[in-house]
Amino acid sequence: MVNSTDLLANLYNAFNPFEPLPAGDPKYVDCQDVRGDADILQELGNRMQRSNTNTCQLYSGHKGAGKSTELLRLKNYLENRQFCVVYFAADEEDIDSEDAQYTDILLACTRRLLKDLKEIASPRPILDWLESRWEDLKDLALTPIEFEGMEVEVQLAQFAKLTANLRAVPELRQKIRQKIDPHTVTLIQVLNEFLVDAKQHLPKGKTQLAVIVDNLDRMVLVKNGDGRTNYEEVFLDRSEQLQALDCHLIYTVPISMVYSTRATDLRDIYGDPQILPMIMVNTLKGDIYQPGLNKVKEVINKRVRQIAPELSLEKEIFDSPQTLDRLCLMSGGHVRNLLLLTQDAIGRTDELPVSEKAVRRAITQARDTYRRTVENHQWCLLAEVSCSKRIINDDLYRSLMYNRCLLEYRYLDDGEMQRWYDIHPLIQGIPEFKEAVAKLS
Amino acid sequence: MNPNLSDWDDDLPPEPEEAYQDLLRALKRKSGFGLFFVQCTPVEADKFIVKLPQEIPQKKIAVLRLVEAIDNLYQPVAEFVKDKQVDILLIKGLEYSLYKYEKRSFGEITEGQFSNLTSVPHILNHLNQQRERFRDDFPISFVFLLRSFSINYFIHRAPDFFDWRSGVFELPTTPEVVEEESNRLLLEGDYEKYLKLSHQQKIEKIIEIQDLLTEKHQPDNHKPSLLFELGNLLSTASEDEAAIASYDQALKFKPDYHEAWYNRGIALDDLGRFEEVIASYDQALKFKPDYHLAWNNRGIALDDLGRFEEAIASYDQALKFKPDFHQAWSNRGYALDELGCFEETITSYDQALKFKPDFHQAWYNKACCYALQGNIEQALENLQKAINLSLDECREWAKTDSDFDSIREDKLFQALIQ
Repeated sequence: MVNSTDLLANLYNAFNPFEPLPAGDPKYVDCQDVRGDADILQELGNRMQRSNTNTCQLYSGHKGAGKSTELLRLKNYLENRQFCVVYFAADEEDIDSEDAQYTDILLACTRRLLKDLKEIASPRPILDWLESRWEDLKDLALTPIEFEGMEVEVQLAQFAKLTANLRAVPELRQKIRQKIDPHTVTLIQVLNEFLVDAKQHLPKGKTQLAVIVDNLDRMVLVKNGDGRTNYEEVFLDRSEQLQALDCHLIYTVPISMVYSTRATDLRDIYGDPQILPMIMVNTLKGDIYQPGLNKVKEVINKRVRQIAPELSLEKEIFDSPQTLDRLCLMSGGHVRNLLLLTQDAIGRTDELPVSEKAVRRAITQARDTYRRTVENHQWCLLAEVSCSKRIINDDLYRSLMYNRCLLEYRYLDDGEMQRWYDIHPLIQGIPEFKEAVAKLS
Repeated sequence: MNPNLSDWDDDLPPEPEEAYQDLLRALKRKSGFGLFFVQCTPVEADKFIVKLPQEIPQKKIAVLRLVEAIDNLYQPVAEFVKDKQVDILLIKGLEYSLYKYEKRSFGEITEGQFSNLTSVPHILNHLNQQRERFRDDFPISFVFLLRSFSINYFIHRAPDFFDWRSGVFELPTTPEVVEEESNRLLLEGDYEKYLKLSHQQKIEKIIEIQDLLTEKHQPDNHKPSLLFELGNLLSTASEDEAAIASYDQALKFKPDYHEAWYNRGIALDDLGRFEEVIASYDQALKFKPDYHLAWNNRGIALDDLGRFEEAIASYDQALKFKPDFHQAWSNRGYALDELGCFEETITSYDQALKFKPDFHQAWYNKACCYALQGNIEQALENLQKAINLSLDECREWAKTDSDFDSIREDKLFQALIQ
């Protein structure tokens, strides 16, 4: 028998909110049927498989809903189907500016593609391009030596230097962009030569090439002087270039972009973006939706099983089935909220089982965050949506989708996809919200 | 409205001591990377920094104290923990990076609005974009000790970083600290000093006061004075609307707070709302009838409305309580002049000069009066004195002042203004 201190510590650490599950992880719970049958493998993966030409698709969802987990599954799925997949999180090493622009994304892609594919394709076209730009760029890469004289490896490293400087040296950022910007078209050309080369030399058993750019939705929304946003500049103004790489492409896009007034433009260009909805724990009418609730419980159960397989979830881990149910319902079917609430409740527990009081305290703290998230003028919008369960593509709702005050649910009704929206259940008890609801009637 | 509303929708906040125990428990249990946000005042943060190593001796605890704005936290942390075993890293002072970057106006801070999308504090953007590197490179529990407003910043402007938190904990400020801090701020409170603060320092102080005002243990008797100081600070930042709101709140707690009525009058005057100015001074005078400064300022507002007789009566009141109040004498002279009472005007200016012989504005105004009367000799004599006392200031005024038009061609006048 594990002693209780260790057991609680292990349980606590089993609910970290910051690790997307790798493909095939035993803790993964397939929630497809309670997310309105949204399956990334079918919706994005199959389209890529079946299409004769390159595809460029957008993927979106509330942050923390499990997008990265799903994209990693997709990567694995595609790799098992003759795809060679380059997956990268755009921000990790390349993008760190408050005003991320298209050029940054292109340079990041170039660097990652070179890194992952240089064994099977000749980087020569790209290096030649860089050489022809070198006079302009060498100061910005902070490399004094002549390009010709460098080893190929060192030449390759220059791209990394450029992106590193783009990220780390704010004074150089604008300059690098200015130098690269007029040449993005030719950079894409040589990048495509490189990709064509790569596709001809794919590892055995691979026939297709796909690039998944994750975390682009992490760009913080910034409005320019003219009222346009950095999202519009990247995803609309630069859409041709975003689509121009000669391979299958998936970009993550901020959910607030998908629900902005520019949603139609976005759809015209890329087709319907795939959105990962919440796990539906309540029905449209407000009743508990048991299949969804069970899935959410399974998420907790699978993590607990790994630590304490012998303890009963609804008696020994939590003090009652009701406590567990409430915890799950308060997550709104949002996985990271669920993990946070669970971890916080365990943290507020001295001895198992986790009590109603501990869960309520965790809920209270999380509710406070939502209270602070909503701006004064937004309470009435939330009150309206809580009644109508609908939103329109208006910028008013954009930030509320982005910060998860409004959640999207989907279900199949007689084979037809229905979408609906609701406030996050944590908002329900906030006094400002109750006042706004009272004003409605 | 909602049939499903239950007591689960009601808050159940922990007792202060429980919140502290919850935080300790979480930090003891956490292994590897983790993010914790602790909302507390700087004083409580320091206490916590001292106490924590005794509470959790089994973990290696380090403190990173930031004393100025930073753009990047990854590098300092990487250097700080190099070759060192650190389980828990307490980070204090991230506020400085927020004061510096989000150049928001005071009005927005006082209303708690986060609608400014034109910029993101660099440090928050950095954390938001780099969270994976923190996770992958540092197996450390990061504990950010922050004021309440900074947590709001994280929620709004570094949402992805904040989303990875293992918890937010509020360390309440003890009544003693609230008392101590409030006293310190009130003692330091000084309009002249406020004027000398930089924009950032003003923001910092405004937030300090706002935090104290929302403290649970803030006794009501401190609130009016704190609100009064807040109003003064805002007023030095030319945020008159916000200052007035602060004074109004102070007056809600303490309706007879005559200094607040008085300063409120000054702020309204800056906005040109003279009727309200007069009403505000009337209130101040209701509670302190011998408030000569209020009588004087009230007179100025009446002047601005062209109500010169009432203005003169107001100055008379000021002078009744402070007969040597030279500004009031001078203001009275101005109002009399507007009414065309030449003799009395001169007498009033003379009174001002009796109490303050180097009062060059009064000499100058007298010169104007004489010039308008066509008394060249007296005009020149008084102007000479004004110019002598004011260096070049009065000479510049005289060059363009239409009051002197009747003597402008005079050679002696010409010589004087050259």
